[in-house]
Amino acid sequence: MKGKVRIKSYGFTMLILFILLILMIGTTSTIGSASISPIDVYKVVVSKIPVVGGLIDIDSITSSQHSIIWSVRLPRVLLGVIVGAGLSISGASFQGLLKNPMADPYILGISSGAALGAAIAIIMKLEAAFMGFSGISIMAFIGALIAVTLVYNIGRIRSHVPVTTLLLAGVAVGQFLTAITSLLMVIYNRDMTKIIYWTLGSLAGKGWNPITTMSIPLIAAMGILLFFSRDINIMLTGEESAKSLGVNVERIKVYVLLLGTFITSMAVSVSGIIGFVGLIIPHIVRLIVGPDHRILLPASAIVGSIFMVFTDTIARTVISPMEIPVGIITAIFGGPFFIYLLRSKKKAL
Amino acid sequence: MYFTKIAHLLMGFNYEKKERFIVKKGIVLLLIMMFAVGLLAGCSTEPETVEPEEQQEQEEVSEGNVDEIMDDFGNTITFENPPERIISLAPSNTEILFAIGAGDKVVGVTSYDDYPEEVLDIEKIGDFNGINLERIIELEPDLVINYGDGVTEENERLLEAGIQIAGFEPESIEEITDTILRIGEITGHKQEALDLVDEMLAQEAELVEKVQGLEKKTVFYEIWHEPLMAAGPGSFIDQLISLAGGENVAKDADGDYPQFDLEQLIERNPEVYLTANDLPEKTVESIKERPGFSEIDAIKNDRIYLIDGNIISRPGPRIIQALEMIVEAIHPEVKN
Repeated sequence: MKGKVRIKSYGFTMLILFILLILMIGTTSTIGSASISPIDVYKVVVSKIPVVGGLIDIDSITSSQHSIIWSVRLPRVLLGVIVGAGLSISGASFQGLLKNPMADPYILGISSGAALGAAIAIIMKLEAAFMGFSGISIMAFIGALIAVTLVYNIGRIRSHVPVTTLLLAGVAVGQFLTAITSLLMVIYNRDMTKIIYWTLGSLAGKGWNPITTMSIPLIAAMGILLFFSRDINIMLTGEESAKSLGVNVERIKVYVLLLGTFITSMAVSVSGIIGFVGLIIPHIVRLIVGPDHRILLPASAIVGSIFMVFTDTIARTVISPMEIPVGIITAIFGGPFFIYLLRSKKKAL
Repeated sequence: MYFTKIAHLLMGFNYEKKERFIVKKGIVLLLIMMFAVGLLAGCSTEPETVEPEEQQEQEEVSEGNVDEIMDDFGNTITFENPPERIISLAPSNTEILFAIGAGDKVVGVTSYDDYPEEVLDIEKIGDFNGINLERIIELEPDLVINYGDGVTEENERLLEAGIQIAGFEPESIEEITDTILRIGEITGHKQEALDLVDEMLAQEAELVEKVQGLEKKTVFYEIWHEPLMAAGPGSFIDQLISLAGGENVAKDADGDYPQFDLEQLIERNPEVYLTANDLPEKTVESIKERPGFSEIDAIKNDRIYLIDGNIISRPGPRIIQALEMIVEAIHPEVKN
């Protein structure tokens, strides 16, 4: 009985969060440094809907305003949604799987691997696109996968993967790959600025292409990840007891690591390495909804989206016409808020 | 994050310039105040010991009766005889040295130096990531010329080795000509420097006269595209744009090279789009294809111009060539 009530209240929480996300998208798409009225923004969006679209009169909107809303602002907001969701959900599942509060989506060397891949693509001028993904994105993705495979195989002791060795392997491989990237930057210093800016991360000026190509695989991967939330819950009680309860611990580990790596690599390959979201959002959500991964994972995804869209809106508007790198805003807003939650809910941890 | 930390360190010179806009004046003020308080608290007994040293230094200078020139950072450079061995740590300064006839004294340059051709044979002792300090001291130069004030620790090592350092950071044509004159005095090529400056100013006046009375065009200069960065009001590119009869659409942004909002770029709708040809994949076509760009007048009317990055990014004698290229881009009609 009790379990059922919980599930219902989870549904309610998700509904509220989802409404908040829709509200956030609705508000932030009307906010921008260009002076365009909110009504015009909605007009442009509605005019794109096949049937109703014809009924909307958008003649009063100039083509440059149209272009700002449709080609610049909306794709940026939606990219924030999928990147924020992806980073938060992989952060949350890694923290649960590795039983480590310091875990974030990058802890198994994904960021270093992706950065090295991107650096190689930039240096070798791999501009060949595959299915709409640029050479840099593909190489970043491959780099991340190779890094995690390396970490996994180094951390593995025969058939099982102790969390401690996995984390240590992650740190070691990460530092090693970072060193190689740095070496490449020193040797090919002409490309250095490009590599640096790729690693600093940004959601600016990407257009629709990353969203149309990435959202389906990303959302699918996040959906599959949710199926493992029960297993992560059980594994948190200890691997031995999880095994006795019939959970195939090693296989679950591989699946969750693979999915998290896939999601993070996708996000990173298009937005660069945006820090903080994947580390702090899961903690904030855990303080609010509790440690059950069945609610923690989906809630993290939505709160991550809300947070990412919110911080990116600040990044692009607060010192207009200039922009602040979004990673700075995520830390400025997330840090103090997290400290506040930590202090007021200390016992809940 | 470890990676970005490394990256920041490696960025060195370039990074500092680009990050400058983020450092708010308030923070700087706070730091200065903290520093001042620290000085007051920590050094209350020291001034007596410091003063005599300073006096001594001044006496020495006046006795020797040699030329002394100040650089941009408070270093006094004094030579009884012009320096025989010079190391230049920036392509712009190397170009100045060669343009005033002191090129034969240059014994070390950075790996970015490529003009004039003679510098290709000169030993490379570093780049913006860092310099090979040991090799510099081994080369026994009399003078090292920095762009900017250099790295404090490295400057100290050089001074300890008896090598004088000068740092220049010109940000406008006036400052560039001033730098040329001072480098001329330091190296004993005063007359050549004067001639060079006269020639540059005459060419500048000629170009400015050409665009006089022509309608001002709105211009955007892209420093970098990922993220979009503009040439702000503090940069010499901004000065070149206004001299060339253009109006920089990013003139109200703060700082030299601010990150610029794409929405603002589209709304401000520049008539001319300028950028340097610093990347092989940055072409007129690739700029046209960027999301949202299609509605900008400069893109619609094919007014995208790629300018030689090695000329426009160096505050040296060829800055007038850069001005000429910008004039021709903004007002193609003056070419004939």
